[in-house]
Amino acid sequence: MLKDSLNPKSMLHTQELSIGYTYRGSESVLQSGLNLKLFESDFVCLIGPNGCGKSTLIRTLGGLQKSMSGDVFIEDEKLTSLGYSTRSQLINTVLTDRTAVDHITVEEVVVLGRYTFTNWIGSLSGPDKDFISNSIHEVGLSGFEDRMLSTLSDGERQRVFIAKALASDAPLLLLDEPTAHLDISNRVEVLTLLRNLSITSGHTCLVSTHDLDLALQLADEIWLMLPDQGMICCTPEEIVQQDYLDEVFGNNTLFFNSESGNFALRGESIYKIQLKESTSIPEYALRTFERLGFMVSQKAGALASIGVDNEGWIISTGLIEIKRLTLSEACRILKKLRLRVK
Amino acid sequence: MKLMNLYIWKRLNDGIMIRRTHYFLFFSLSLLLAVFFILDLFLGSVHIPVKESIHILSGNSDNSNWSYILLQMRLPRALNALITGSGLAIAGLMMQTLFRNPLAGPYVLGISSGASLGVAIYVMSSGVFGFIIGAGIYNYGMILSAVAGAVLIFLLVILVASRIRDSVSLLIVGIMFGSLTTAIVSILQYFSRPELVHKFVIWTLGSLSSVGWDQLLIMMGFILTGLIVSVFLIKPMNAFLLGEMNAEATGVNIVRIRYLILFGVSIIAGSLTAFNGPIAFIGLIAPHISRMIFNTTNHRILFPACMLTGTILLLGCDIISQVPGKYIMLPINAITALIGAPVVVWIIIGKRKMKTAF
Repeated sequence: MLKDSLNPKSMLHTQELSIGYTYRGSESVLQSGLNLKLFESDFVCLIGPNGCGKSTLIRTLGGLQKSMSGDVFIEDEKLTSLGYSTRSQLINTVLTDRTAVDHITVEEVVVLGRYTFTNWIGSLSGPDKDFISNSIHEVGLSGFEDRMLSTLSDGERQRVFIAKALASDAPLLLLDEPTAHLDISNRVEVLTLLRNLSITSGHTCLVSTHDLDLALQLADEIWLMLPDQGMICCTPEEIVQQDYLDEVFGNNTLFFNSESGNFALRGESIYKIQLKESTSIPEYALRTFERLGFMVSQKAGALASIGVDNEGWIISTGLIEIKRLTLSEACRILKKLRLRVK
Repeated sequence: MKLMNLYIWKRLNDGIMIRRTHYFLFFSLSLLLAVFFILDLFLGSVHIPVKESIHILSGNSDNSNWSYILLQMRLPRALNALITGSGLAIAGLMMQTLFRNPLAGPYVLGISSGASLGVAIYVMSSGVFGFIIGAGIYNYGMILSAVAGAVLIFLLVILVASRIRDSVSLLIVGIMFGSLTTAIVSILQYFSRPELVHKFVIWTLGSLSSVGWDQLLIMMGFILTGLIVSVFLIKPMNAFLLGEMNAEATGVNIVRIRYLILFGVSIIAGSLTAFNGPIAFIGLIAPHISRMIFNTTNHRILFPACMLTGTILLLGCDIISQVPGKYIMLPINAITALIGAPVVVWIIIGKRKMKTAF
C-alpha cells in the first residue's frame, strides 16, 4: 500500500511510436520504436542535433501531427481518442514559430489559454480570470497585461506564451525550443521558471532545447535524441558520465569534456613560444595563448620568446624586442609572427 | 501607471480591455454612418428638397415622382450599401485572419471572380438550356450559382494555401484564379446570344442601384445567414491569430473552423456579388482601417468595427459615384478602386516585411 502511494503517476507514455512526416507522398521516418515515459512533476529536457526530429516529437506528443505508427497515451488514454477540448485541457504545446501578430495585448494572448472553458463568444467567468491573472503573475509579467506583444522583448514574449499554457491548467506542458533567440540570462530565466513550475505546482514539462549545459544542470531527466534513430533517456549525470554527448555532438573542433561537464574546443597548438628566463606568466595568460594556438615552453628555437614585467608584456624575436605591451597587443604580434613563418 | 488607469476606462467581464477611446470611436463611427446614410438618400442626380424628402419619408407627400425616386430607388440602394458594405468588410476580415495575410480579401483572392463565373454560367446557359430569365435576372438561381462559384474558388485557394506559406505567392495565385475565370467567362460569351452577353456585361459593371425591395430582402436573408455564422467564429478567429498550429494546440478544431469560414465568406461574398456585381477593395481595406483606428486585432472589437467602416466606405463611394447634381452616374467599382488602390499601396509600404500579418 505504502509502496503504491510512492509510485509516480504516469502522465504520458508512448508505445512503439514512430515519428516523421509525409512529403509529396513519400514517407520520411525520423525516429521509430520510441517507448517514452513522462511522470507527474517531471522536468525533462529533449536535446539532440538539428534535424533529428525534436520538434516533430513535440508536435506528435502534443497531437498536432500524426504519428507514423504507434500510439501516444495521456494518463492511460489514447491521444487520438481525445476530443479537441479534452486534449488541450490535458496537454498544452508551446510552439517556436514566432507569432506574426503585433497588435495583441499580453492579456489577450493569455485569455486564449482559457479557450476551451469559455462560452461561444469567449466571456470569462470568475475562475477563468483567476487562472489568467495567476499565470501572468507566475511568469513574472504582472503589470504587463495591457502591453502590446510587439513592445516586449523576446524573453518576455516567450513568458507570455508560457503563461498562456499555464492558464489552460493543463498538467502537461510541451515546449518546443522556448530558449531559441534568447540571450543567456533570459534562457536561464525561462528554463528555471519551467523547472520551478514542475517543482511547485507539479506540472510535467518536456522542453526541447539546444542549451546543453543549462539542460544538464536543470533537468530531472535528459532525452538525448540520436540522429541515426534512437533515444537515450537518463539523468544528466549519466549522460555526462557515459560520453554520449561527445558521440552525438563532438566533431573535429569540438569535444565534450566529461570531467568538467562541458564542451571545449580542440586545441591546435602547433606553434611554440619560449618563456623568457627567470619569468613566470599567470595561468590565465597561458590559457589565452593556448586558445590562440601557441604553446608556451622552456625550450629554445621557438617562434619568439615572451615575458612579463611590471610595465607589461615583452616579446623578443632575437632581432628585436618590444616592451610595454598589453596582453591583447602581445597576442596580435604573435599572430603576425605566425603568419610570417607560414 | 496613474495615466494607464485613466486611460483604461473599464475592464469588461470578459477580460477584454475596452478603452474609453473604443467607445468614443464606436460612437463617432455610428454618427458618421448615419450622416452618410442620410446624405446618400438626399443627394443624387434628381434634386429633391430636404423638406420634401422628410414629407415623403413620413408618408404625407403627393409628389409621386419624387416619392418613387426616394422610396423605390434611393432607399433600397442606401440599405443595399449598408448590407453590402458590412458583408464585404466581414468577408475580408475573415479571409485575412484565416490566411494570416494582410492583403487577402474576397476580390483579391478571386472569390468575387468565382461568383462572377457562377453568374456567367447561369445567365448564359439560360440560352443553351432554353429556360427563360425574366426581366429581373436577380433571383435565387443567380445567387445560388454565385455562391457555388465562390465556394469553388475558395476551396481551390484553401488547397493552395496549405501548400504555400508565402503571402505574396498566395496573392499571385488568387490573381491567376481571377484571370482563369475571366478567360472562361469570355469563352462563354463567345458562344452566347448577344442579348444574354449584354445582360452579363451590364452586371459586371457593378452597381448598387440594380436592387429593388424584393431582391434586397432575398439578399438580406443570405447575408444575414453568413453574418450570423461569422459571429460564432469570433472566438476561434482570435485563436487563429497565433497561427493554425497554435490554435490547434489551444483546442480549436481548425478544420471545422476553416470550413465554417469558407461557408460564411462564400455565402456573403457570393450573394452580394450576385446582385451588385464584383466590388473591389472594400473587403480588403475596411479591416485595415478598423485595425488601425482601434489599434487591436481582437475580433470582438474588430467585427462591429469592420461592419461600420465597410458600410461608411461603401456609402461614401456611392455618394461620389452619383456625382450629386449631375445627370451621370459613375460605376461604383471605379470609385472603390480610386480610394482603395492608394490605401493598399500604403499598407504594403507600411509593412515593409510582409512576414508580420497584422
